[in-house]
Amino acid sequence: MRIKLSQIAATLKYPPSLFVCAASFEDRCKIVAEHLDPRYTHKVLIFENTDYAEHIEKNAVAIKNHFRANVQRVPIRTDDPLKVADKFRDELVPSINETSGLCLVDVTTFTHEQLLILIRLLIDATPQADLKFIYNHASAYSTNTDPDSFWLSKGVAKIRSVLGFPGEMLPSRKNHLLVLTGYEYERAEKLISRLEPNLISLGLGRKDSHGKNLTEHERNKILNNYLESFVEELSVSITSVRRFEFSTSDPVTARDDILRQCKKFAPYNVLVAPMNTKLSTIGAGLAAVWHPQIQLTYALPITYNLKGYSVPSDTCTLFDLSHYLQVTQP
Amino acid sequence: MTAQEVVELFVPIANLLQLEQNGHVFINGHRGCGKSMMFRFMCPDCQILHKGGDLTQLPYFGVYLSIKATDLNLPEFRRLEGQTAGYVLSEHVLVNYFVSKAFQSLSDFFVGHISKSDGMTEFSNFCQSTLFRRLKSYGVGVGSELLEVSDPKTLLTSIIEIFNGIHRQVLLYLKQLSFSNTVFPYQGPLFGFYDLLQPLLLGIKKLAFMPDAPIYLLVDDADNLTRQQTEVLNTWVSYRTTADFSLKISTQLNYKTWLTTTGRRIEAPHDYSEINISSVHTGPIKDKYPDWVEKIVTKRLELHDIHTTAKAFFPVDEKQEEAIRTIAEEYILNWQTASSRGYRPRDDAYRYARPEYIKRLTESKQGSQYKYAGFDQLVHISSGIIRYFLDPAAKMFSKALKQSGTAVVSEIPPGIQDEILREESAEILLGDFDKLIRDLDSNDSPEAPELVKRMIKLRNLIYTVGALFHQLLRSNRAERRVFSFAISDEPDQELLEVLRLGVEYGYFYVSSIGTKSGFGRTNLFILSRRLAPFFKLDPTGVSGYKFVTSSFLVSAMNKPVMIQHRLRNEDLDSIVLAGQQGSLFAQVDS
Repeated sequence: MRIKLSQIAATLKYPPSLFVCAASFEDRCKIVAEHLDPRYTHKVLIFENTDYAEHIEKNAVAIKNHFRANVQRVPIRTDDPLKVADKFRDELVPSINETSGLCLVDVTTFTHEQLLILIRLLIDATPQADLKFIYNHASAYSTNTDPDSFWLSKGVAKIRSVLGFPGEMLPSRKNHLLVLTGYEYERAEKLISRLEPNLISLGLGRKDSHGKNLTEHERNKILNNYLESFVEELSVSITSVRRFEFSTSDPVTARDDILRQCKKFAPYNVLVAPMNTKLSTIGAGLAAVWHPQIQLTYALPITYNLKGYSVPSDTCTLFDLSHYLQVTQP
Repeated sequence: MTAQEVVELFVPIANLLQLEQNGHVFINGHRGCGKSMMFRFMCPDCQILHKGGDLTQLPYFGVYLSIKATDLNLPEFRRLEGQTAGYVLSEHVLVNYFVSKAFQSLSDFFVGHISKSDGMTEFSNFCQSTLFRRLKSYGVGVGSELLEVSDPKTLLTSIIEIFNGIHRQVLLYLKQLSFSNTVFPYQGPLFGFYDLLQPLLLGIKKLAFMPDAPIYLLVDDADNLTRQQTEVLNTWVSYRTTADFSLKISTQLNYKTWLTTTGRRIEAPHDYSEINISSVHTGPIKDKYPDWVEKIVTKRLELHDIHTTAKAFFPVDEKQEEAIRTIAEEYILNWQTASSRGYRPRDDAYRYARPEYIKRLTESKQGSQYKYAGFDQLVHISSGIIRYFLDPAAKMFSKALKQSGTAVVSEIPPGIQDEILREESAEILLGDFDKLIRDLDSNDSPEAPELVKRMIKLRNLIYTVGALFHQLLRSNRAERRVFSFAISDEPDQELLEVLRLGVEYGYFYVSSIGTKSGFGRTNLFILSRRLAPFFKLDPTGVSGYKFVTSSFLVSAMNKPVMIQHRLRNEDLDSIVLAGQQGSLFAQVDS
């Protein structure tokens, strides 16, 4: 459900007893918090990527100061998925289970990998609490550059599967890589170079039904064309490059788009690399939950555009993860 | 690639002969240097096309195992780090993977042979007496219907599916470990080298339809294994199995460890031999890399119906070469007036002419007009990595095709060669990553994430080393074509880390030379010649090296602007040697 920031309180009906978020260099990390009445939130968990400690401190303190009471700052790292999983398991899940009221998780500034780990854990842990997720959309990205110098992250430090989504990489099969491409074509390029799949499906985010994202769609299309040229030049071992569209705004539709593309080419080992919106990443997670043979893949960047990554918008998407899991299977 | 394409495009290189000999081999090289292509060429289908004859006459049976980044190195395995169970499971995973690939190879290449004569009977007996019996001992169920299968393809598919099922069991176990805070026992079968892999490979080797030859397990990109898996693989390397099968293991210079599971270190040549093909083999005539590239280019031109030589297809800039010849004539004349230093006039002419030309262009502020063109220069700039020749060549071809307006390209104009090589060189350093570094407030921002800090220092180091080499080219020294440096004293850990990063990213290559003291050897760091256009260096021919102190390199990392200013204005030795005895240039093959 898309709502305005100003409508958060009214939409939630009652304030969250537990609020969870990830502190970030992006101001989007605190925008939801700032629209919550701190008087009724009994506990706050602020997850902090300590490998970017100096860059997130200011916003972490701002969130902490907003809530004042019972705020726990939980250290995690972007380069240590096991630590992330352990902290989610040991801090977040018990907190959710102890909460009798609403638990609100702001997923905006968790990394894609951390978000997927969180989803996996929550699906396995099946907490009984009233659990909702919220995501703040960006009004602009790469705000400190010219349009031609647009960038969000640089380099690829490591490529790995997402913890909890190992898929089924059988030695007797070839590999089919689906990339949900976004702005970060350099990262996608490096991912494709290193994985050298036999078949690539390049995904382009579908134009948003709300009429927004037109510029992003066109930009993605240009970047996708660039990526396709790169793939065609890249390697003689890639038999073909296919294209498909996926929803950037509805996880269930994104899930179905991904699964449809997978089914077209069987039997392959399937790897999905979600590199677009967090909502489509949730869709990738749902696809891998329905079909555990799918491996989710993540390319850890060397660094991010710390000074101008994004600017918050006044729009959020509020959703219930359990609702997505209960939706009819694809 | 199909076998046909591989055989058409691949040109055997000297290293292949070493790979084809019995014995464990590690072949190390950057991405794009041709390791995977070599392994692919060693597969049965390519060997038959290349050598002719029958599968049974092959000199070896190559089983190709490509390890991709996320195939076996799953984050879940980290739950078992430091535990014996981790090693046991790692061995099981590798054995299962290798055996599965071996049967996949049989399915891909030998079905026809198995179908002939008594092949199926013999294979079926082998499966029952060796494979199925052993699997049953692990508690792996083998359906009775498999004993009745008469078609080899069906039987092999079923066998492969058994191993797929066993792999699935491991994956299920790992998923259960994902979020667990304790390690619980694995309940499935656990294969080992001696109780499954070795007997199966020996049994396969003895089958009548197989060549009477060793089996080579071609493990590609072993850097992608976990540390425990790597130690298991090293343990296998330490076994004396080479009479029957050998491991040929490729790495991208990021191999995690040389230790075995017992903590012993495997060593060359005792346990294995080593091929390093990422070195700068672009120097003297005796070196084979330029010939190899020429053969590859010639083959590819012929496939595209372009009947010309590689050198004619990538012509030099004649005007430039004429100017360089003129300078060479000057040096010969100078020798005749006894003002030169070379033993023979050709020595001076060779050593000085091209750098002198670049120097004169630079001093006339026309440094950018030096043309990096001509087949030989392209070969040198590719720094021994075939991909760094072929990728720019492909771009040059596309550009030439566009410019010609016709469907035929008979040569690549020098201007296009130069343009693409300069773009590539600039992209290496001025690509997106350099922009990132410029965005940070200072060269050593305390706030930057750790890896970024090291990349900044690396970039500073490269710029300063490049500047040093350019200043040497512009000097009047005996040896002006310098592309490498050695450290005359003991570097600290941080410097070593930055240099290691430089090697990993392909900015430097590592060789070794004798130390200044004359005792022992030390590492020689060779700048990638792909950076020659960026730093206006002469990439051709043999080059010298320079000893520098670690304090110079540390200053280069941390205060590049100051050091580069000093390099332009002060005596070079006083900066790079910092009180140590000065510059003795040596000629090395680089």
